Amino acid sequence: MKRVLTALPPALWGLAAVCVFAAFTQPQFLSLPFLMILLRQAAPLGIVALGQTFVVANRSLDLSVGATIAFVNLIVAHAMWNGYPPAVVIAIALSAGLVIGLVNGVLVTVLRASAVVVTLGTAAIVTGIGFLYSGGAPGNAMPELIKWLGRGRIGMVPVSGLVWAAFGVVAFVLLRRLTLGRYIFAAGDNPSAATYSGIPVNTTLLISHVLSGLFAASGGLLLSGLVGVGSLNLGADYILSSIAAVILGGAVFGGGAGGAIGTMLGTALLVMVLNLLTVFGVDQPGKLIVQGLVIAVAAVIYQQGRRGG
Amino acid sequence: MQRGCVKDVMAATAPLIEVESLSKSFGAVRALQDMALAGYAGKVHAVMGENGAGKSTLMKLLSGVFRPDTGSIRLRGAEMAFHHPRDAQKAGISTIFQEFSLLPNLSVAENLFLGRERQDGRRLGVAEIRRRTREALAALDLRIDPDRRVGSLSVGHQQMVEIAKGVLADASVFIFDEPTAALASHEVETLFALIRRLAGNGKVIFYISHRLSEIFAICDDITIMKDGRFVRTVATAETDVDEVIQGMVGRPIEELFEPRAETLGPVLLKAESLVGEAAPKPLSIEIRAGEIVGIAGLEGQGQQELMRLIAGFAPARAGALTLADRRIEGLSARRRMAAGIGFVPENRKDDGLFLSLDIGANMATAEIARRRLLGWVPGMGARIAEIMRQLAVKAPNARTPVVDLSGGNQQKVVLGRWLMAGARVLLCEEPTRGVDVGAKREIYRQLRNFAGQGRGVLVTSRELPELIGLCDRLLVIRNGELVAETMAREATEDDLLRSALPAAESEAA
Amino acid sequence: MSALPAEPRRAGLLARFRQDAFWYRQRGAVLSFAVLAAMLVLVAAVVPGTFYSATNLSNLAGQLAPLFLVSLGQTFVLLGAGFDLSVGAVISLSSAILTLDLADPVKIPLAFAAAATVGLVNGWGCVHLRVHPIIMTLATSSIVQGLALILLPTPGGVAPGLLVHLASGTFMGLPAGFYWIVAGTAAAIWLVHGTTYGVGLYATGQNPQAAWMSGIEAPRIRILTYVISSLMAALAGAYLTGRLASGDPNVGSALGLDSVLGAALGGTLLSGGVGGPIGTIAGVLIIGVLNNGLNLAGVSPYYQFVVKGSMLVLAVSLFRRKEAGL
Repeated sequence: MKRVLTALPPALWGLAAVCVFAAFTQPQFLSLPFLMILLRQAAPLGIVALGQTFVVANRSLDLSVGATIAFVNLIVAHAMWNGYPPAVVIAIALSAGLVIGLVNGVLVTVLRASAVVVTLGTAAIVTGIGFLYSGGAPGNAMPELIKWLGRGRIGMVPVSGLVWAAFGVVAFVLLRRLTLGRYIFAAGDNPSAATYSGIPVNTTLLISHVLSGLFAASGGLLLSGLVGVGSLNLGADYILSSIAAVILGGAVFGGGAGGAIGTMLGTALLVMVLNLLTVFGVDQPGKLIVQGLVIAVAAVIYQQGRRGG
Repeated sequence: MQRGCVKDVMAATAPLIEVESLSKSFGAVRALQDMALAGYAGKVHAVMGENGAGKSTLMKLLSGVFRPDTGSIRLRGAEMAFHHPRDAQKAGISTIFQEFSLLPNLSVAENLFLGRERQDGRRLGVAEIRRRTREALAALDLRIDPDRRVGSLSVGHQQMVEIAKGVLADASVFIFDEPTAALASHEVETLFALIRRLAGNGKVIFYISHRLSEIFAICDDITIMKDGRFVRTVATAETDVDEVIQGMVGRPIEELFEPRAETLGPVLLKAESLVGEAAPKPLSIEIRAGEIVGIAGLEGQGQQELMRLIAGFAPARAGALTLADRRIEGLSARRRMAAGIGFVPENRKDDGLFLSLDIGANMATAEIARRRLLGWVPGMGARIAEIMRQLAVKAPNARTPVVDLSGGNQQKVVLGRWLMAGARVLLCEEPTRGVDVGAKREIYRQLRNFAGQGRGVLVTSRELPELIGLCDRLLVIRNGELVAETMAREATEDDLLRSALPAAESEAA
Repeated sequence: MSALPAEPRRAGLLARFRQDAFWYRQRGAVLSFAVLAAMLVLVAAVVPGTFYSATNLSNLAGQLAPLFLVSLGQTFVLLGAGFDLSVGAVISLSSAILTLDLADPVKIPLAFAAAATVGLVNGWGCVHLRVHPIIMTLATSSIVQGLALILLPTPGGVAPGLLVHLASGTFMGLPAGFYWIVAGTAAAIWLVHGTTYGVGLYATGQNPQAAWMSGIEAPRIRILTYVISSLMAALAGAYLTGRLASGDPNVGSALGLDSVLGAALGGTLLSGGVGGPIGTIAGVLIIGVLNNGLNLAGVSPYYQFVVKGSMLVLAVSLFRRKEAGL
């Protein structure tokens, strides 16, 4: 029984608890229009967290997602792209994420440097390049398509929510239906045993980092569209939040658990809790505390469950 | 040698250390049940049993590494409860562990005094530590700089440092857990002189070894264990080798093994003058379809390097490797596995298993590893269930996490991985390490079945009886070179050991 | 019975780094000092007068003191194969506590007690609850930063007079920061190289199980590294608060990651058991000289991000590990 309970992502129980709590205290919180607003807000983080899932399941970490988001934002807001078709701008932004992920992946696999330090290093480099590129003054020439992606609606449903769902399906298929996912979970759980079984451990880790960079850039696009202008420090708090969402979703550094669905639930839980706190008048410091507690509690519960097994 | 009269008088006194009805289980595995043991001052006491008989568990209970489920350990009549290896050390029990407890990045002196420095409540000066280190090393005839990093020493010297570390303690009970596995014969002599000196000073010595000749050379008493239980304690003078073996095995050893192959197929794997970075001497091996070939040798003579060279984890520098008429020496390990080579590493927990994943995922890895990165994973449930049945893996279903399995079942999962992947040649290091007797037999049967399907197996093992019983043909490796070859049915432990020993010593022996 | 042949020992400086335990563990530090020396020569060539002026060096000492303290603390955690991402938040928290509206004899011990508590929680979570250090300290970092912002929502407050006195001005011609650096470094070097704790720390960082079997209290040693790291962070917070004469709830945010940079540049491996505070001296000085030199040479601060990031990547790439990942 204990195993069944701990096998499900911690986020599921948290989400149920939050919904019950909200139903009794703030019923309007669960109304459809409000949930749609939450969805639009959650989508960028949701995509970044999905990317983070690949690396965490692969026993690595990507701390450069914040810098990637900021960089993408500076690119798409820059005046130099005026006149180019929006698809080109989007393609350039996504390639930036891909390159950042590739650099992370190469450094982590070829040089065997610690992913924590490498991604911190590339984050600093990308931030510096972003400052140089924007001259310290972010533009506000954002293509309408990106704004639509970030804030638009189809009927009642936010476009970004649909994009998030699409990325969720892609991540689910990659992690749970394709060979790659098996490689990621095996290499994440025991890189040595994976090597001895013939799994291409380095390639797998490289791809995980590339996917994380790509997903972070995509999340950055949606967030840019939502904000609508260039901003120097966009996405800084997404580093912590994306990791929190992954942990709430049940994936902890190569434990074989978690995945796309877990991370999506984790993102939903995180965003709901933070917004519920806003409704109750708790401001930023209080949210930081709650976020930290939630991560710690989820990690501890998960770890205790594993020890029993 | 001068085992004798003085000590017999002392034997009448009460035991210095006494173990009663000691039991310890790990999950479902009962490693030790109702064990009894008594050590008398001035006596060297052998503890014998097959692998998995519970010797190491017993010693780890005595040294505070594990805590007993039930039973008592009494030292000079006082009941002991060790929560930490340090408690046992303080009580005066010093253990020379089988697996090195040395830290390679620390110096010899730091290793020797690790955790001991504050025994008298004050810190030893650097000069004092060096002096005492030199003394301890000198007692073992070792000339090693105390500042030397342990990781830069040879395996034999590391083992001697491990012994020096245990002997340095001001203890009344010394436990030697297979101390000679990595030692050359002159080092063994030095060690024995030391053990006799300790016994002469009224210490209790527990000596664990497989080597009967050593036991009869140095021990006063022998306690025999089987399947985690006490069998009997006898005085060495009143017993002989046959009686001891019979007590340990309880059944003729032949019963464990399947009959050897009657006919062999064509050559399946052929290495010709293969040379690798860590294996500089050219190696040539042939494995025929249906054949199990064993590699015998002392600890660390290049067995691991040989296996990894063939598996492709160390690139070949020269020579040829052919798998069923296909040259594979230029292929990466991954490609070789796709071509039909399977590898079962010695260290199951670190290199073999995915401990957080379930049986199904563990078994499927090698099969999945051959597939395209973006290929769809088909359902493999039926195939996994079939192999689990075939291997008699004791688990409710394929979703059981492998951590919950016993060592034997875990090993079956690793074997099953290569059955599933359809490997043609299996490279298997230490097939029965940490596996109980019943499962051993099962694994021998599976390896024989595997070979019987027209495939080949290459095995390394520390246990000569296992190699002789399991294999068709044996090769002896010494200092990175294959020095002897013999058919297993004609092989004896003595002959193999003689070929395995360094040349100068085998002449002297 | 013949004596064994002595273990062959190759002569030469390089062999020493492989064979001698002390030098093996300090080989990264030696490299860092070489890099530092090269940089000092380089700045002498590029910005000779300005870098080696008394004012600049004195400023440098003042600026580097907090980084020295946190990097030394982080060195302990890394040696024990841990990771402490919460030091930045602890600096901020101590700054917030030290500028509370309380009597000095109350709030100064309170700041250090709070830091020690954070360290204990980190250590307890990582060691006994077996949460990954990165996750554990990330979580506490968030909590501690939140607490700092609650106690001190905006920069301000009054720093204790004692700290203002200790962290500013000069003593015997040398800036106050210099004495903080010397005191912190001396304490760290003594702990690592002069006590049994240090030997236990190297052993634990390399292999906690083997250390435990040798009778070392490995769990306690690991928990203590987090406490030391937090206390050093509180010390850095105290220095910063004194120097600025007021509090700032975000004062530590940049220092948290820089502490890893300082230790890693000094040759301390993130996998534990190799390196030490001596190398961290060189690591921190490299960062300081680099920032200072780039400033003096008039390089845009934007480039400094790029340079710093590249240094970080370079530092950890110098020593190939066995496994890739975290």
